[in-house]
Amino acid sequence: MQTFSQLRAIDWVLPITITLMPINNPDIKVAVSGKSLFDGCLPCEKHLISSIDLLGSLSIEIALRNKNYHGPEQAVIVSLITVDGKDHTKTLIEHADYANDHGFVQPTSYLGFNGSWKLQIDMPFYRWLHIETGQGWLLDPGI
Amino acid sequence: MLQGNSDATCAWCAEMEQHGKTSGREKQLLKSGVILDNLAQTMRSSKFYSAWQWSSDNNGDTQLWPVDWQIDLGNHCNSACVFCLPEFSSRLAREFFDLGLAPSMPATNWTQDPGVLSEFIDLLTNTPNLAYLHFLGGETLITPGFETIIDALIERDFTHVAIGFTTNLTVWPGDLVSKLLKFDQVSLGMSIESLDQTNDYVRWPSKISTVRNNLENWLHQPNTANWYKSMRITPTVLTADRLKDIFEYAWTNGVNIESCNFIQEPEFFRIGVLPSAMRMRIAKDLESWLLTKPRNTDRIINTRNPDTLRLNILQEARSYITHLENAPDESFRLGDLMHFLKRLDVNRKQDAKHFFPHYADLFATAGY
Repeated sequence: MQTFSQLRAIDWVLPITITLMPINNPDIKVAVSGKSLFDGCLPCEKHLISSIDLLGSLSIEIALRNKNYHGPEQAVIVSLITVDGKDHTKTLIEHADYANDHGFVQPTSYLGFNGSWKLQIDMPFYRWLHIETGQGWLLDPGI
Repeated sequence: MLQGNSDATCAWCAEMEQHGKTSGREKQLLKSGVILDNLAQTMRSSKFYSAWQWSSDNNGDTQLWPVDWQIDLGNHCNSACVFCLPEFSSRLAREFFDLGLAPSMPATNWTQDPGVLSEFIDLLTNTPNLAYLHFLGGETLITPGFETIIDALIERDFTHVAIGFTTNLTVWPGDLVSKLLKFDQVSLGMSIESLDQTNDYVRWPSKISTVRNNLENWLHQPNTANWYKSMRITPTVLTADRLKDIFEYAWTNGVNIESCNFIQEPEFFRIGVLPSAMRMRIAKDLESWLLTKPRNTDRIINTRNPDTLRLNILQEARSYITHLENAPDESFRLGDLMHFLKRLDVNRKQDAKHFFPHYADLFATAGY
């Protein structure tokens, strides 16, 4: 059994990975917590890697730009988002907002409209996950 | 424990987790945002982390007030369940004392002292961030201290505090129901072991007709849709074969199932006391029931989430199948069990074989 002191010596950084699949070379920009990970046309599947502080906030923004609605279909699919090595794609997609030029508001991983798909979590990730996945009360120590 | 050593009673939770049952420590850790599968990161992310840090640096001391209470109101009880202990039942305590099974009666319940009760109520209502009060007994609904505390909490405007209690379903609380409805959150545990006459035996002297009637009344009580309701079971050697019926009832009626642990004491009531061949048959029967339900592989830790209620029922069933199959063989305790049951039955003027005809041969072989 580990002691509390041993448990304190942990990595305080959460690795983030985002896997994107393109449909016909979309023009996209991807940023995690304000840091640009990709900016340009996406020719093939891409795995993007980033990280956040364990206790910090998380934002992921994926923007589709310059799509011509009269040409071949173009889109970017959010195939996978992992946080700390675990697949949280479904939960994160349900929480994201998609501001686009067609007013499409339902949770989606298929970004086929010009606009910005944004996920914003303003509390430590695991605290957010507790609430988002219905894990019940979170007691407050009042300190 | 700060040095990494566990207490002997920690084994109870470890055993539950080993069989896929959500343990008491998992449930309590979850309230602080901590999950065992991701202990370090969730611990560090918890709002309590700095308090734990302080406690670790100060030899286990704490500056926090308890905000989540388990309050033992004493053993005032109208039932004398066969698997219970005198410290939890005044009726059983008297019977044990009279039969010479216990050398003395337990101490007087603290709730009978008005001064102590009043001090305790003051302590509760002066606790910062008080969140949850879970009341144990005895039979909570007939323990006078319970209603006194409820009245005080209402009077002092503490209805935001969640209330939890368990009842043996032998009494209907009348006016107390309207008082409980004033609280924002209520968790109700309803103790039952089976849906037939075997319940009358193990939860003596209750009658299954009354128990089922009160169970139905609670399930359909108006204005309690937001209450958390569960059937609290304590499967033993005598009632393990009734688990399938209990789980089916829970599934059909959308009521959760909870049990504190795999019964440890009295030792001769453990499930492992049932001969292995019988346990395997029960496990197979329960497995057949489980196969008629949707398959789920996600582990549920928040067993009280209404959205995963039925999945939790299945998880509980699976844990009991695993326990039935893997519990160490303690059939050598059958003789002790028969000796104990016979003593009670003579006093209670009943015959265990009448309630458990399917175990008549087993009882006879074991010396009943």
